[in-house]
Amino acid sequence: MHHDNDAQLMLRVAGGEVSHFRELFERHYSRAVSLAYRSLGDMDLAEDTAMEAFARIYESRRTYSPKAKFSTYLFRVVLNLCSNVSRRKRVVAIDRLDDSQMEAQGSDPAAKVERVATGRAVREAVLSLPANQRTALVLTRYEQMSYVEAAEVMGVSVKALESLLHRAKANLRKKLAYLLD
Amino acid sequence: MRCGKARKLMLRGTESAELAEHLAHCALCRAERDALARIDDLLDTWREGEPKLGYDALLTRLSKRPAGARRTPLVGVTPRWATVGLVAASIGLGVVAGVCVEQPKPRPVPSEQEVAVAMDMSAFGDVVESSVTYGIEKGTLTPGGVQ
Repeated sequence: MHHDNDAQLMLRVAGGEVSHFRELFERHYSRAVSLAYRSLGDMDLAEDTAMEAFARIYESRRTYSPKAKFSTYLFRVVLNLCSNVSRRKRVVAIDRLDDSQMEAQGSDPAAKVERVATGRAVREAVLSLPANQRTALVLTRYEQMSYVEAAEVMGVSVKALESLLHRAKANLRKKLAYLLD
Repeated sequence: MRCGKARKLMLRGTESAELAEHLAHCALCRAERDALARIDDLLDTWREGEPKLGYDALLTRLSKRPAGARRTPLVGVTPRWATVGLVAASIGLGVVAGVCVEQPKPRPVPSEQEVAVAMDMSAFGDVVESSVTYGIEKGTLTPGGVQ
């Protein structure tokens, strides 16, 4: 049983001290949004999904049992909701302009256009990966999780996670070959 | 070190003297390392924005939800294949149970003799006699026949 600080806070929330939920939210909301964004490719949808994850965790607080770190539990809920959203939507609107790609970086317009185009190509390639390969990549590469933690979130062995990562990168090499030359 | 182990270490981003030595002699693994590094650089080009919402948005969301609304479990949702399997197994069990369990046979219609016994009459003639007597008393029959 894990007794990280977050789990202790969540236990207090479960016990009726609900004001502590704000602290948990503020500690983890950004990462939950980030994970949902890398899984869904749409910032608005990602915020909605992360918010829903917190709402559901709050609603089921009385049955909370710290079997894993709170962050592991949260990320599982987020990924589960992302999976439901993807199933409903089927196709992520790749062509929709994403605010995160529009930030100004440098003053050279041509270079900026190229960066945005590359970013969109990478986003499309990552989102087109099979869900478990994408999740393995997102957790380890973007969320900077250790292999052990990522494997725990996904409910697979470290060996299986390594295999997923290997396949994800092999697929990305194929999909982005024209950018690698 | 074999190429398989070297690639696993490169995938993890592990650096070691053993790996460096392997890379110094293996052109294929060097190419793999360069490609992985380039993919990592490309992955960095996908940027994300900052979240716009905060805790107040969560409170608003919670306040709009009906109390005790039924929701799907947070984690460990039954996969679709398991649901389909469960339904198929239920149908199969139903069919097997239908074949194995003996159907109740319809009860035969009792004969007039059996009815007479059940009504505590000695013979079929008593049934007719009783009916006629009952009919006379009700005025629907005459001793000579039907009115």
